[in-house]
Amino acid sequence: MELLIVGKPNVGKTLLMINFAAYLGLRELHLEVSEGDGVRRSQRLTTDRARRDLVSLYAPKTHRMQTLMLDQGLGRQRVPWTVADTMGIPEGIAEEPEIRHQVALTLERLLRADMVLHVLDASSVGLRRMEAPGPFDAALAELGQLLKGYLIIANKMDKPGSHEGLRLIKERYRGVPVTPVSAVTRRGFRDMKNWMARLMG
Amino acid sequence: MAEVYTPDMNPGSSEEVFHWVEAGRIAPDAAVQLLTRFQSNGAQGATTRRDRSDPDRETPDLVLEDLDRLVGLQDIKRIVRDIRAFVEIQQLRVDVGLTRNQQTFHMVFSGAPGTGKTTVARIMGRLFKALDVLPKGHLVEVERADLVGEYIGHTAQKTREVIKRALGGVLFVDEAYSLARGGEKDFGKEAIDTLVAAMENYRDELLVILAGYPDEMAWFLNTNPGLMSRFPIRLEFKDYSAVDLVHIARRMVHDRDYQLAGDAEAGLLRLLGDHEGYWHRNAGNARMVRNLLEHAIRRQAVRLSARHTPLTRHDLMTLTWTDFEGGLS
Repeated sequence: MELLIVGKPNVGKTLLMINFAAYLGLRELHLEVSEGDGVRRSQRLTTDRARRDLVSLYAPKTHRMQTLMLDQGLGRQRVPWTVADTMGIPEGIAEEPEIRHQVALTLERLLRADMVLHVLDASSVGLRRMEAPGPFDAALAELGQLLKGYLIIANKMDKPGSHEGLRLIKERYRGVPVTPVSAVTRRGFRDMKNWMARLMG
Repeated sequence: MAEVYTPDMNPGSSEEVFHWVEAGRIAPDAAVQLLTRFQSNGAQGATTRRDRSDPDRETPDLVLEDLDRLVGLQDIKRIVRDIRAFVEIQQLRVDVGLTRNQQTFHMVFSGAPGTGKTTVARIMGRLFKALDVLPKGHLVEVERADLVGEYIGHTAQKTREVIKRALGGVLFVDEAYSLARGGEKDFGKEAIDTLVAAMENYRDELLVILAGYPDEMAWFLNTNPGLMSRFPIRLEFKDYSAVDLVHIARRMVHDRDYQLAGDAEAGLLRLLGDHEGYWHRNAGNARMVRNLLEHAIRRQAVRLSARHTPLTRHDLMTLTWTDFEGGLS
């Protein structure tokens, strides 16, 4: 089973992964990062360390796809599963080949994933910011309807303006399930977990 | 800035979309839109399924119409129809859950130059694309020099590059027998081996057509028994009859906005009839007719420019027998 986390840059994908892992009771994260040239780096680090090293408040920090390996599933079968945290997908055609490569990788993985969390920044809806929902998110919401497991995460619900943002998101992507979450305060994690457990069967 | 998604972007598969993203041709949002089309088309996991509902797609019927428009080639038209029926029935079988009969469609075209081999190969590519057997259906035409290298190891590399270009379509190897001509030490053998390996590796993405003179092709296939079984479909392109050639001539003339005078047609038929069955082996059949015509068109221009009376539209269009006479040497 694979859960894929996808979204624009700086919407909080990596922190969501780390804090959700901590919420599930993990102390140590086993991460696999695929470098270029087919090299895979495997690393283990504590959740605190991961928060410090992998997350930034100001600028996107995830430049490569990283996969969190989890031993026990949430469903009854308890099968091992993975959480793939992807690079933020920018709007428009990126100049750097490496970014385009990561976008292509993400899209490819997206079609194969069993569950997809599409993360939006609820506090920046309608703003002219990199993380504000845009055409890419609209297109992905369309595609999401055809995927097996697809959920929109309205993240950053702890920030001012996010309630208005959530309302706009629900209006804009009508018919698509939206779960309000705050990766910082762990609000909505239970809903997320239940959703995953249901899909894992 | 984001490039707007345009309807003329018709990727053959989701892989192609990934490539376009990577190459910077399309923005992520457009890519996701294109992927949505594939996803909605097939069942789960059918990400490589090609878009069948695409309105710009050629239908097999349309392609066969183009084939029918070619003069002569009756046997070939029949075999192509057989192939089409086979493919379509196989697809229907798969749809109802029966096993697919794995068959390769690699072909040998034997015939003199100018008997329509390349033209038919191009139509084959389009047909297989229309039938969903090949993703792209384009034609890559090569000969010995494009495949065989100059030093050890060069050949495999060159051949692989050619194959890469042809992936998704048809690789047409003209005068293929020349690959076996040099004997045991020749690099041609290496090219054949690489080609055969690629045919196995890209079973669903490559159609190889070997073409050449009938005698040489028969010899070539006999030198290499493994090849025979790998090219199950043999098409023989017979030399055109004089009547067919006049037919072709008439069509070529028409395409160029000329017309044949009655005496020219009769003369051509007589001229070509005399030679029937005794073509110079490089005469090139249809190509020979084209050369004849081009020659006649030039002679007509000379003839008309020497005239002092005003020229009518009819004069400018008509080729008479005097324009042809002595043209075939």
